[in-house]
Amino acid sequence: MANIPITVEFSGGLELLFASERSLSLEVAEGTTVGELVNILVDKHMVDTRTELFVVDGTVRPGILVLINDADWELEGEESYVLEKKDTILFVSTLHGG
Amino acid sequence: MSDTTNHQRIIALEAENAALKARIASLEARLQLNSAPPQSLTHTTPTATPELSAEEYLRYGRQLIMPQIGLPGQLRLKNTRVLIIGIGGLGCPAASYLSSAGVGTLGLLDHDLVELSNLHRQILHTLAYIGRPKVLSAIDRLRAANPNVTYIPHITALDKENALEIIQNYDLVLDCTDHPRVRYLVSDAAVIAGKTVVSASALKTEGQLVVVNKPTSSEEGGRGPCYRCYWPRPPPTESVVSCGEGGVLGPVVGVMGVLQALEAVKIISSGALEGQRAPASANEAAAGSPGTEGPSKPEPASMLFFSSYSPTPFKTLRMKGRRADCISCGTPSDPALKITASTIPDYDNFCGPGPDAVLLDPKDRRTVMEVGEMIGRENVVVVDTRDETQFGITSVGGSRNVPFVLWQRGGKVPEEFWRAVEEEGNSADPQEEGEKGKGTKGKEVVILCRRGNDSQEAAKMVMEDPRARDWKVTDVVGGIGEWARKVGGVVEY
Repeated sequence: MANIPITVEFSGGLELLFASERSLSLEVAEGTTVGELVNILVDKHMVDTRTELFVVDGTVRPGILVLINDADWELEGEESYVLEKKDTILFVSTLHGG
Repeated sequence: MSDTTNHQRIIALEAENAALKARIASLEARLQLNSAPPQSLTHTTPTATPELSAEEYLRYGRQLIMPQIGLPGQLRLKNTRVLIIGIGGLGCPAASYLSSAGVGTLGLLDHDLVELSNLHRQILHTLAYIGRPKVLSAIDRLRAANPNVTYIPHITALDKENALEIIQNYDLVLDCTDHPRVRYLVSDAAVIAGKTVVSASALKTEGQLVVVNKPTSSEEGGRGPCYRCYWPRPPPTESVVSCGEGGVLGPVVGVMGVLQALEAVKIISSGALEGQRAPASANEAAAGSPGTEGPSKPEPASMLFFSSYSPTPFKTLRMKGRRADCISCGTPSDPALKITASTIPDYDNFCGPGPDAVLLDPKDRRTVMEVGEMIGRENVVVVDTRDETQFGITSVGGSRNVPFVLWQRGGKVPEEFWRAVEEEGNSADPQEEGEKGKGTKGKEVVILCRRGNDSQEAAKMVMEDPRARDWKVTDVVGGIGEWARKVGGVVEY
């Protein structure tokens, strides 16, 4: 099956778990869901061993929002959303400072 | 009496004085309100008795002539009571703009005292107020620019006992706090009291802003999502980073505070809060008046996300909106979970305990004075786990930098550490090159960080590694901060 290009972005400190990369250009197999993408990120791209700072109980941990093209993934079917060409998936961690 | 006791007494008296002044002002305001014609709150054209003083027409003239404000909007500002929780990097700019815009009553809540390290971002505070309450420092500056506003000081921390009582005296709340446990508390109490919250946060180069429990026609119940709808479960304690640990750029947190003030001005001047006091009929709310966009305009839930170093720094993220089963603003499947005035939860448990790790046996920890004496001995290596930026600011002479992020990444002692210790051994005694380095008997490796937390974790990892079995491994209590205060030769930051 063909691969499709997508962009993955990290912010709110999550970039520190991914070698301080704020943006990754990836190719994923057509039909890949966001849930599968999360696993791919943990397996292949996360440099920090503390996976619990990104994934808890098989899904992104509390305090992280997943945005599919700037929309909350809950509006798009959460983990079951099938990635499309040129999608941007943004992972944002909650900030607390003030 | 000691200086400290005198100082505390002065602070207490100042607080009392400010509270009494505020009480007088609020009583005077009430007196004025009672003597004013009863329709003055909603009346949209000036009558023979102007609702603003001549000074106020001039002072607010530049915003008054904008159709979004107009006289109705200005009067709404004047008749609104806003509570600002947290008078720090967000609260200072937010309070400045709301005070200058002519909000009638501003409550300022913070338990903290002004410190030197606040001044790069907390723009209301001055040197003269160091060691004194932030709330009084802020009111002093605000009153100097606009004495028309009634300022109410709350020199206290917000907790589950006082939250509801304080919040219900206001029409709108600005959450300018710095910890998730207070953010959940503010939202829960505001939902119970039926108040809207403009909530912002910032860290390093980024910021977030959401309006919580906002009057809207696009959600059932006429209210937008609460803070728990956005973030239903609190983040793990280890992922919570404060400005003190992570750093923050003044203009970044400043932008977020200014945006909070702007949201507040928009919400107040549009009349959206008027339904909040006494729920008005839908027709009335939609009818509108000059300067009224009305609370009924459907607005999907959104979060403003500011990433100042990104090529596209401002983003509006579309959010899901209210959760029907939210334990704060919704109907949870188990009714017993619903948060009410009498069941506001304990946020310390909810968000985990505070930091300050105790991982090492006290016998494996050294004081800065001890290590200060040991420096320069050939069998002692000091490894500093702060990041490169902090190490570049100040460091103990001869110490080696192996940033903590490297330890976290691999979950084991990083190669950089072994290399640093080996090189240190070689340079200390070139003749014994073969003997030095890893595995050398009698060596002590001392691990140092900023405050003495990361150093414990790193020291523990080294202790558990067989390559270090012949070494003594210790860490430094209190880190570089304590070193600066007790030993010297490095700076405190």
